[in-house]
Amino acid sequence: MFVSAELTAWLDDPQRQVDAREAADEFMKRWTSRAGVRELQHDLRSLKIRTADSVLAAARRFMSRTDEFRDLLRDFSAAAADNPFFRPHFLLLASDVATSILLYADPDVTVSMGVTSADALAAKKSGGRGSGSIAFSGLRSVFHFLKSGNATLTIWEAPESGDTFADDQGGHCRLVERRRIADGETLALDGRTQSFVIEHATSDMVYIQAEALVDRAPLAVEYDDRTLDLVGATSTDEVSSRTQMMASLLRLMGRKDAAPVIARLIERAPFYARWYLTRELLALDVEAALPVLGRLAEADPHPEVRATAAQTLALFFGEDEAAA
Amino acid sequence: MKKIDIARIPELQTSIGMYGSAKQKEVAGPMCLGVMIGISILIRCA
Repeated sequence: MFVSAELTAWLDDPQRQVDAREAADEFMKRWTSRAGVRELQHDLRSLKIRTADSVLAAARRFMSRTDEFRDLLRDFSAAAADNPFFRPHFLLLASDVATSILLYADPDVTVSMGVTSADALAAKKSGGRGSGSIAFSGLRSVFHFLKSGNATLTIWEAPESGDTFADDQGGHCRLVERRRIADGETLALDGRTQSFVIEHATSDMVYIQAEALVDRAPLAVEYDDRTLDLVGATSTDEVSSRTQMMASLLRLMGRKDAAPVIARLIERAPFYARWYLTRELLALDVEAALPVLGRLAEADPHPEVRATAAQTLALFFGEDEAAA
Repeated sequence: MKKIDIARIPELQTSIGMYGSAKQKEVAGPMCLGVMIGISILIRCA
């Protein structure tokens, strides 16, 4: 690793490190006290019912105040010019083509400002990459393009993934529209059924993105970008995924005392977690799992869970024991 | 009661990945898993 003389001097000078930290603290204080940020906070707190529509409406009002973002960037540039080690306390979110900072986070909505690099995009498009996905996030979002980069987007649609999603019903996604984005344009996207792909940009794109975390689809779904076939689905529910991992751990630890808790969790879990937890419960404590298995085989709303539970009953217990 | 080996218990035909996982890399669209995971960590820590 090459360490510059400037970095060495900074590392050797505790006061300069404190100065950089304090400058970042002051910067964040200025940002959070700005009228637009305070208004967004107030608007969200005033909502009696939080829906994707209501939280995105509040976020849109904030996003329309482009002066706030211009001032933010000016303040950022000035502070960075003063001190090359200045780093504001925004969460940095990066992919191979885009870098964003999280400007505002609420349990139900987030607002970020991002830059998509035209060069990185071109390299990705021309590179010998493997299969790629068109991803449907399951979330509703709004993009406001401060700089469009003269980009061309393709807009895609796919069937909504619901509580009865099954691989053989995932279908395909389809191209709906190809469009050029202009500076200042706003694009609303329902990630439950819509997605976009940036096909081409002549310069970097700069945008504000709001994403509603309420009213989301239970699954994020991927389609292959060449065949347009379903590739797979992932949970949008972090809690159920953590619960699954916890159940596996408890089973590996042989914690039979956790069986009643796991049995209760099965009742309110999404379909894929219901079956995952039932498998864990069955391997942990057969006696506790048997009534759960019977209920799933009899009346689970998801046909695959119902069929797999019935198959499992027949496999391990035979018809007599299952009936009991 | 008998003990059942989890490997012998049937799985659903429809496989759903854990939160934050993906099968293939996304082609320059609106979703960034790093973004989603980062945000969820931030909100939980706030």
